[in-house]
Amino acid sequence: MTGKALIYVLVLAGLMLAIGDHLLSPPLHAAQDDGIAACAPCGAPCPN
Amino acid sequence: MTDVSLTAGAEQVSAPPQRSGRAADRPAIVFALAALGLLGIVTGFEVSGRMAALLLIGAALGFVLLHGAFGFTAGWRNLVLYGDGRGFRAQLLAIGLAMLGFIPLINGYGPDGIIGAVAPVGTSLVVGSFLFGLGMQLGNGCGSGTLFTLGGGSARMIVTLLFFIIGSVIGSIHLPWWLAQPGWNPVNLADHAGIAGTIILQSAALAGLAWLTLRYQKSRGFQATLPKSAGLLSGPWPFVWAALALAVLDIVTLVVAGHPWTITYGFALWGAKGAQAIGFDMSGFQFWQWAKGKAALENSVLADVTSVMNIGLILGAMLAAGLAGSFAKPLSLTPRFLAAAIIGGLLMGYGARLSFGCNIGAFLGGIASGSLHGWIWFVFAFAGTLAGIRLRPLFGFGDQA
Repeated sequence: MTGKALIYVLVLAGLMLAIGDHLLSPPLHAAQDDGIAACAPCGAPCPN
Repeated sequence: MTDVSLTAGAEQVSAPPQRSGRAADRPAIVFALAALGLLGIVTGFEVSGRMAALLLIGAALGFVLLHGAFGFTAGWRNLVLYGDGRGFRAQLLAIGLAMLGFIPLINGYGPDGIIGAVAPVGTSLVVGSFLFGLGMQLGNGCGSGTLFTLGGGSARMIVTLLFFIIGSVIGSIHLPWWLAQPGWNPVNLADHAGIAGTIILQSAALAGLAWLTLRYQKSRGFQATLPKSAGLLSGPWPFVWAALALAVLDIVTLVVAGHPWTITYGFALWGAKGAQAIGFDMSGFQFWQWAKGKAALENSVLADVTSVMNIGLILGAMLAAGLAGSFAKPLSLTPRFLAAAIIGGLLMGYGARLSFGCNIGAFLGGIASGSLHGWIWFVFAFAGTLAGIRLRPLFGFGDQA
């Protein structure tokens, strides 16, 4: 398989996985407040 | 003069842009547009119009990154090895321009709910950013670089991306332990210096860095050659165009997404979802119990801003490469390059989780947000890059100082 074909196949597989994950996931819901103040973009709490 | 185009890495992105003269790659163009259209329809109808818009913003970012050959990894390496500071200065320009929009928007002059890339300062940040800087030289691309060179047809980046994802998952599991080590709460410079003061202070620091690189460039005798030509659709773009476009698109992202452009959180999420799919219960780990992680793990990946923008970025880069006629490079994977991609990917993934992002989320987003952690991230990631550059010859990269 050439590099070009490999990229097409993998990108296509990634798209199918994303859509498949969407179809298998429960209805969308917002993040519930867990009482921990987020201190970083990833939601990590503050050190102090 | 050293010919920077002779560097051995896949991400030879800081070399002066030259028009390829090649015909457009129609299959790549059609594939990218069809995939963007399909995903745009799915996200637009199934998630929200906002998410479809973010997909397109991600695609625009990928388009700009590829046409601008805007690689952080090669930009830093070319500065160190050859005295070529053009790529690095373009990064500083993008940060400075983004800052002009970011600082007012996140400090009371933007829509409600907008937050900057502001994060704690401490052991986790220092260790993580050093590991990231080291890993990006071995993996031959940072977070954005991995995605846009993959979209541009570099099949080798698949290996780096796979291990980037694995490293991100491990980093997400270890992050709570690292955060328990000595550290301090985030420092938003605008809280201390005010909006105007932060902009002036950071502008001076960015200009000072640019001046230092110019002096270093002169001392190394590096003579830049002017790009031959530039086309809006077919590229290549001068660094200045790319820096301006990236800054504007990051400000648009801040307004539409509610936070600055990020990349590596999506990798951790993809890995965690993959691990769940093969039987691991990621919800037992603290990172995935925090409100954001818990919701992201339970929701569709198409509801995650970072993931959707990452997918858009890959497809936008593919579109740009197709228009430039440069899509897909010959696949050459020696065992040493493979080892570098694996180690580099793992280090970047782990380091990005510990240090709250990569060159995009922490360096560009952090400094543009006026967060002290962005500056500390830069210092230690650059130190890691110096170590990584010394290690590259061991992995068969033919860099020559």
